Amino acid sequence: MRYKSFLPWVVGLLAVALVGYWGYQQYSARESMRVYVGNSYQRAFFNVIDHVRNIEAMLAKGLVAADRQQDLELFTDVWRQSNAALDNLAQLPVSDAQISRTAKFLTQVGDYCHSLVLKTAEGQTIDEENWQTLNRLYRQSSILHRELLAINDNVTNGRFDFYKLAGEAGRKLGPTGRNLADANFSTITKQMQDYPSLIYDGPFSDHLERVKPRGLNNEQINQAQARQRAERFIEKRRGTTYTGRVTGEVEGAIPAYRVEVIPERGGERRGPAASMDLSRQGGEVIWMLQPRNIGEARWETDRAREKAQKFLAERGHKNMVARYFQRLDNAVTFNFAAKEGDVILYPDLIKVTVALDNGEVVGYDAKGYLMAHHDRKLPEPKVSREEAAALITPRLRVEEGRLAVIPDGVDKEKLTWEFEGDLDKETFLVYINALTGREENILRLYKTDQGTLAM
Amino acid sequence: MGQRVQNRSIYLAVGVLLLLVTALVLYSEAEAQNRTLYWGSRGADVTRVQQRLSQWGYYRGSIDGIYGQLTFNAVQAFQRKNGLPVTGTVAERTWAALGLAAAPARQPAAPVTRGTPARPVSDSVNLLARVIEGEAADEPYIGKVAVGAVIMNRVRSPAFPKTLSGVIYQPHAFESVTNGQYNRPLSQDSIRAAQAALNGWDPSGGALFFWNPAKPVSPWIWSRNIINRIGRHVFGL
Repeated sequence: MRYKSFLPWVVGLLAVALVGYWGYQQYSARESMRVYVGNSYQRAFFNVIDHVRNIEAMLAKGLVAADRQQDLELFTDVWRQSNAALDNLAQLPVSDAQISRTAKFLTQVGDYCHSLVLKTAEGQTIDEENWQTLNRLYRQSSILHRELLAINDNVTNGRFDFYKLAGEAGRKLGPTGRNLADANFSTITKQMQDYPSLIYDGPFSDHLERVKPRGLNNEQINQAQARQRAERFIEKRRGTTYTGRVTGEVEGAIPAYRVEVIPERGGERRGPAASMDLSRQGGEVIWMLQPRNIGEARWETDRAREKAQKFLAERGHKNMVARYFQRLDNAVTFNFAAKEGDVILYPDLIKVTVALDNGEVVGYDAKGYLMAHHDRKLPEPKVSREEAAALITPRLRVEEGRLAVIPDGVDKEKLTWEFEGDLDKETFLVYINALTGREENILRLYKTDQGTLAM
Repeated sequence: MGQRVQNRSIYLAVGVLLLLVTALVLYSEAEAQNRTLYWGSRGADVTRVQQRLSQWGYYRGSIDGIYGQLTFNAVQAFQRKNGLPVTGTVAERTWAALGLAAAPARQPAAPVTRGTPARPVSDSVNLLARVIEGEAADEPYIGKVAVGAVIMNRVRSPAFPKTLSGVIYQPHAFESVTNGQYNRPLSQDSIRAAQAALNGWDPSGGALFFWNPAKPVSPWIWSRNIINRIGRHVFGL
């Protein structure tokens, strides 16, 4: 009898525990699914932006390309990118009606470029009508890119949630969902982001993956030498002492010592330590970062550029030219390329970040330079400047050209004529091989308040 | 008699369930700052504790704002390690030890909050900064740049997707993306670190992987070539 009166309690509690456990399991499973699904949508969306950005850039290049090989490559790439963009677009939880315009445009771009690929492959050239169509497609792709960036703003600040949208779509797209999607996908009202996101590292940075550095001498340094060199490298303020300390070793592409340099005044710490890597072979500074807070900007960009140039010269890099820069908050990063005579050596790249509050150098990166720099036996150009200029499309009004070495794949380099030219207020760089006359590359320059960048 | 027993057990079960539900609702209503947290507590403060414990490698459940078994275990482990009374509840001293004593005035209650940077940053910077914030919020600046650099190295590596979003959203590539932690508000440090990594600074020395040895990691990861260590992270190729 006793045992009988216990039974319901036991069964009841067990049931509660089971229900609770089950509920918790369901809840966590649902939460992780929610995040996972949301992530998948966001990935698809970011991919769409990436592909559309590439399509835009390549169409722009297509407008100024004058070489059949170049045309073939560009249009094949646009075709490929538009297919990829369509693939990703189709994964978004948005109704067909809302994305049909975008999808149609992407299909058109892809089809048209495919037809140009076939035409070019048959040996025909791009005619005036083709060019006008390309120009129109390019303008439209710019608008689309801008629209997508505006939506992206809403995605990142949480106003637009693909997961919620997917839920709404399941319920025949309720009014909120529809408004959200309408507001985001069907209008062209928002302004473009204040600067385009591009290849930040400068256009010719792919050479960094080279296996062995070329720019180091054979001297091996020890920890004490690394410390001394770091102390010598760092920029000094008056009355402050700088003490280096090796904190570890790095086994990367360039084996290095990691050194911290601590600024002190009267035995007291002044600001955060600067970190840097010094190559064990050759004892060169690979990179340096000084993570201090930067106050209000008092320096102009030009003054900062001169300062960066001086900083480099004092550290043995006298023949460098600043080609691109980018500003973030109160610091500017300059891309310097080495020069040999009048020839710009783009593979030999050093980046210098200057704080605009007091002009101090707070960042330095010479990885590109150390990987690529070597004693080049530059060939004599076989194509003259005038001959090269004549190979460029007459649509582009080019200014004076100059010789430049650009990387070719991972390990090779090419001597080219670099021309800067304008087409409808947009600036392009065209590279003509100085030995063969082939159009090697076309870059579009973005000039904004934040800097000059190339894509 | 059999009938009555059955009835009683149902009433009981329903009663206990109701009690539990009421308790849950009550706890989620109470949002006082730095209240004592224990098993069953829920809310933004639990989320904060979970985030911190997760960053420090004690907690590996989901950051859901619910004080469950995993959170309880994590709190006990944390207390044991830090010489606190092992109570499994988060009271004054544990709050302080977690570095959350004077909690920031008003944390948003929802565990999922999107970053609102001070000034508009481009989409790539923002995306990268969010992962840096999720993976390395408590790391030194160099460690943040290094985490960003690993992601950039993956974009360049033939073994990984070719786009930034492809790398970041690759399933199970980054814990903070998988559990949604990367949707936290961005710090200025993370934005700067993302910018530096995009600009090519690479304190990781070319690494493609990083991991926190204090957290349970797949033993496979130790077969990687270790390049260096920064803060709590090991970087490898």
